[in-house]
Amino acid sequence: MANYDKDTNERIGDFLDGNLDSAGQKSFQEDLRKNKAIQSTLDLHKAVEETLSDKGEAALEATLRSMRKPTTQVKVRRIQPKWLAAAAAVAVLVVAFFLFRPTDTPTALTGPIAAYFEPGQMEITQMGGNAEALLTEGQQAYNQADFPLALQKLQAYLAVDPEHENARLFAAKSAIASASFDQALNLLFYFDSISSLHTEEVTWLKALAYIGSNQPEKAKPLLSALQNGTDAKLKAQAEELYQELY
Amino acid sequence: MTKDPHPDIRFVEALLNNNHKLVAAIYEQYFPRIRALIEKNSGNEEDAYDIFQEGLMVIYAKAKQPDFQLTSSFYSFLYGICSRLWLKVLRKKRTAGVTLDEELEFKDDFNFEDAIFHREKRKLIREKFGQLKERCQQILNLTLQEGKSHLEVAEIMGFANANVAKKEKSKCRSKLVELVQSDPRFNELR
Repeated sequence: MANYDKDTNERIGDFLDGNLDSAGQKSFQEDLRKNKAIQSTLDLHKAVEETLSDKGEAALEATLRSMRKPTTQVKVRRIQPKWLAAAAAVAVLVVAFFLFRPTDTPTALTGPIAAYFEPGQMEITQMGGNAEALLTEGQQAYNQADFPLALQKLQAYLAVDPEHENARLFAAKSAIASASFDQALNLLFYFDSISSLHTEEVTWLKALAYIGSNQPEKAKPLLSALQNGTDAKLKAQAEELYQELY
Repeated sequence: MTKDPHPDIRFVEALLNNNHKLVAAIYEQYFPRIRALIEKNSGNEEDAYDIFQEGLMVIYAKAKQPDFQLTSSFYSFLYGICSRLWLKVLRKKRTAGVTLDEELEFKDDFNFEDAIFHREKRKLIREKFGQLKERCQQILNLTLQEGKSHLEVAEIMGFANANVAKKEKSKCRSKLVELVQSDPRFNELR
C-alpha cells in the first residue's frame, strides 16, 4: 500500500481525532501492527500536529536572526561593484606602474617644456573617504617631487573617485614631470567633458604634454588660445613658448 | 536509577524557552568555535552563521521530542550536529577532498542524523503548510496554533457545528500529510 494513500490518511485522521467507532478503532490498530507504512503515516500526522502547534520554533528562529551580526562578506557584497572595480583598477595600476616605471626617478624634464613646467605644491581641496590615504600619499609624494610615486597614488585614488579634479590635475602634472605624456593627455582629456574651473591650466598642461610627446602642431592652437585667456601668468608663458617654438 | 541531567541542559532549555540572555551566551561562547570549524573546512563566516543557527534549530527540534536526553556537553552535541550539517552542504557542492579536521566520539549513542532529519521534516511540513489553500491554513492555525475549540472554529469559519469543524480540520491535516509525502525530499528524510 502506498504510504500516501488518501483513504489511509483520512482513516488515520479519523483515528487521531477520535472519529472512529470502537470497531473501527480495533480494525485500525490491527492494521497498524501489520503495516509499517500506516505507522509511518501516523507518525507524520503526529509530526504535523506537533510542528504546527509549536510557536516556539519560529520565535527562536527570529531570536537567532536578530543576534546574527553582519559579516564582512555581507558588507563587501553591498559595496562590491564599486570596490571590486576600484581594487581591480588599483591592482592593474600597481602592476602597470612597476612595469612601466621609469628607471631614473624622479625624471628631470628636458626639452622646451622643461623651463616652463612648474609643478608647485599640491593642496588637497576634497578628501576622499576610504581612499583618503591614497590621496594623502599622492600629495606627499608630489610635494617631495617623487612624481612617479605621486602618479601611481593619484591614479589609484582616481580609480575610486574619478571626479576629483584636483587629484586628476596633479596626476597629470605628475605624469608630465615623469615624462609620461600620453598618460598626462589621457588624464587631461577628462576635462573636455566637464565644466571645470581649471580650463586654462588644463589647456596649458595639454600643450606641454603635446610638446613633450613631439606633437607641437597639436600644442599650437592651445598656446594661441591661452594668449587670449584671462590668466596673466599662463598668458605670458604661452606667448613666450609660442615664440620659442613657432 | 535515573541519571542526573547534564548541567548543560540549561542551554537546551534556553532554546526551548527562547531565553534571549542565555541564547546570547550560547552565541558568544560557541559561535567562534563553530566558525573556526567551518572556515577550516572551505567555508566562510556567512556559512558559519547559517550552520550555527541551523545547528541550534536542530537541537531545538530534537529537544521537543519527549524522549530527549542530553548525555554529552552542549558543545559536543552542537559540534556534532554542525559538522554533519556542513558535510551535507559540502557534499551538495561536491567539494572534493574536504575532510573535517577532527572526529568526535560521544559517550552516548545519540543519532545526529536522526536529529537533523527531524528538523528537516519540520521545515518541510512548514513549507508545505504554505501550499495549502488559505481556508485550510486558517482552520489549522485556529486549532493548532491558537488552540481554539472545534465549536469556536465552527463559529469563526461559519460551519454548521463543531463536528463539521473537526472533520474539516482532519481533512486539512490529511491534505498537508499528503503534500509532505508527495515531495521527493520526504523519502530522503526517512
